[in-house]
Amino acid sequence: GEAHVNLRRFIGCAVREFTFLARKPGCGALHITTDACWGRCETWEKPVLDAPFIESYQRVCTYNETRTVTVKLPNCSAQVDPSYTYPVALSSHDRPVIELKRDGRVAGLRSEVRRVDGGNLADRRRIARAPSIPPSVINIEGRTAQPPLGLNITVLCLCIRQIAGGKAAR
Amino acid sequence: YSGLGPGCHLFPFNVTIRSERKGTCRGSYTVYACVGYCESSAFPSRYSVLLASNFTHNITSASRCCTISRDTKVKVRLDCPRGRHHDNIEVLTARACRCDMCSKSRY
Repeated sequence: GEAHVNLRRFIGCAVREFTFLARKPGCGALHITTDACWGRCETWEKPVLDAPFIESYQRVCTYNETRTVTVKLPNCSAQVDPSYTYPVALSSHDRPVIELKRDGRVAGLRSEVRRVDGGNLADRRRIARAPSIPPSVINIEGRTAQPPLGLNITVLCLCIRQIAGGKAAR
Repeated sequence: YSGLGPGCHLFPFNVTIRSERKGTCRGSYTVYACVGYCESSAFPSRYSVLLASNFTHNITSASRCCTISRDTKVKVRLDCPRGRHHDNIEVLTARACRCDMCSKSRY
């Protein structure tokens, strides 16, 4: 059943409704409501002894499985193809930033966070286990590892759905 | 760190440093890392991005990551057997954290 979740406290990565304005030269604009990804994934930075002296763990919420949808934009000029294709998120997941930068399908990381409209949460989809800060015993010369602290955290990855509204609307 | 909520927080962890080949000198101390859950999202790219990427970059990611915004050095003393000891060594510890730009090449 539907489960209401406080998005201010939400931790994890979820499919979430997202509205954007599709437009291209020679056509009218069209408001499209689709499924995108939003969440709060575990990230950290910790000091280490060796250069570059900071170790990072950076994962961000992005598309896992997608399908593509093509719509026709209104009022296009005769010589302009009215079709507009965009991805729809079927599932979302945490992914390392460094992989996203290598991924040709992703336009890039921006420093700001764009908020999407609020929604209601439904369907607990899966439970992912994220790693914790790695072992912190360091040998200056011998460099042999010691047992980790063993801190693990469980992140719930859920699906956010908005009850009202269709998938594509003008 | 199950108690941490959204945001970027100072988080203490213990470090043990050993020196010399047999690891006979050692010192333990607590330093702070920055750990947390910052917002990130991914959504369809604008048409200008599609055009500039020859329709290959169809997803845009807008993200923040938990970063160390201010740090400081602390001195750690390594104790050795039979009363010998190394000089103090300096290590970094976080003083403040914030959700900021995600990057693997900040340092």
